[in-house]
Amino acid sequence: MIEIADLVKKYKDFELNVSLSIPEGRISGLIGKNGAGKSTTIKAILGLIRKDGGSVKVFGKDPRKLTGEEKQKIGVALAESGFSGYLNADVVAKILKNMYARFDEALFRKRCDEFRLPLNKPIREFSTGMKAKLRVLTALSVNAELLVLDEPTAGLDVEARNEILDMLRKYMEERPETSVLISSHISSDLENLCDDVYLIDGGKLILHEDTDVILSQYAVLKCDEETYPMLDQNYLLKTVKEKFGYRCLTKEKQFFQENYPGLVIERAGIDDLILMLTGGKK
Amino acid sequence: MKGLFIKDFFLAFRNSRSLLIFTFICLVMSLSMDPVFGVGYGILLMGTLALGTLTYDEYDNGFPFLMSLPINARTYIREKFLFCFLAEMIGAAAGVLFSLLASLIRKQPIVLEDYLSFAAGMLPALYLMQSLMIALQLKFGAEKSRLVMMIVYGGFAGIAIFVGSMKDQLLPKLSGTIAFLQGQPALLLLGTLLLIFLLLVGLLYIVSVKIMENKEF
Repeated sequence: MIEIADLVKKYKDFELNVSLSIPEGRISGLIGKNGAGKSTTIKAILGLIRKDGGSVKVFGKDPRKLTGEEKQKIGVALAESGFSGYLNADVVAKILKNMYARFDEALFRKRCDEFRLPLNKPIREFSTGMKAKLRVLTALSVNAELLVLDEPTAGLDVEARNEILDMLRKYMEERPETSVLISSHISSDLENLCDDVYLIDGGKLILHEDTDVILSQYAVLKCDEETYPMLDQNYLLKTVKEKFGYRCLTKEKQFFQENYPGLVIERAGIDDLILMLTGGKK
Repeated sequence: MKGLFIKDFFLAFRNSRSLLIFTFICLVMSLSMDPVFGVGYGILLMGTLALGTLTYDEYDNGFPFLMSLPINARTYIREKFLFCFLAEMIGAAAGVLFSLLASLIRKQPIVLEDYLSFAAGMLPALYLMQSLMIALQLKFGAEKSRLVMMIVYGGFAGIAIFVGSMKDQLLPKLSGTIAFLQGQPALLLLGTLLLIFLLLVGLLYIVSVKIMENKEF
């Protein structure tokens, strides 16, 4: 569905250089801090910017050359861009009905009702959560084969975030063949949703791993200064010096469990990966 | 493209109260001034409302999402040019109706041909200006484009003043050309003007498409 090979995009004070691949039926997360390059990557996938190098293919084509029919197969929700705030959800439904052959208007209106999104109220009068729900609902209502969601849960409270994530899960249960690229800096949102994650920092891809592998094989080791030199350094991906001693990231959780009894070994979540891989020293 | 039309229709006419006030002003002006005023006002008003949709699209970073919809730069520009033209046509039709109404109320003789020929002259002129404004707004954004447009108008005014001041020298030189043009059939002259209009609009359309295709969002 999406193939990015050595994509380069240069700005005055930032350079993006990433490769990624999202096959059919896969939910991939793009994680990283603010300004890491997630939105730029998504813009390149949607053909909203010109690349300075490498290649980007969506459905096997340069996204800037996709036809209207091909773009109908992509559902998009962007963090800071949507329909004009002067329109309302009722008009949005009318627009989508005339743009997407597979737009499910009945479902859209039903979900608007479920999510308490008034149909006749201008979008600019919506709360942040309501706007986010409408953006995601728009993307999910066009029966897309590919969903590109940029920070769909940014700035939302826990309840609104869960509603959006539940909406996504339900969509994927009904259409398992759909491919999804979802970016977020709230990685806990993605742990139960994504098949794999791409961690991006400073415009560079620093990790690509299956979520299951992260949750089962990665670990954070905590040790004092005396224990640290005794650890097998070959299996440490990153080390951070802290007040009490060291925090180390490893992909060999089992090795340390078996060989270092007494060592504090904690499960590493995606948040730990971000913190360690983008902030630690090694 | 139908989806874009719906979007622009709701954006342009979302404020029905303002539209009613403008309509009322148009009627009052047609009654108090030359009835033909309504024609020009109708075209200008509808053209301004239609062009305003470009500002709504641009406002609040709307373009990235808009261009991720199943359209491309060419479709977007084509719709914008068509929407503006249709809006001005409706404005012209409404203006002619107002002028007729004003003439009836004022018990003046109704000269439909005058109103229609005025509309036929105003429509291409204002549409040409609007097409230029679309290209400028896409290139410079809503704020800067107004400044650029003022400079363009200033340039036109400067040329007009210069030509006016030189008319004594220019007229004898152009008298042969003027006589030649006066000798041509009206249809030929109209056809030539229409061709020039279409060429200029076509050129502005191509320029607008190029600007849009080169834009990054």
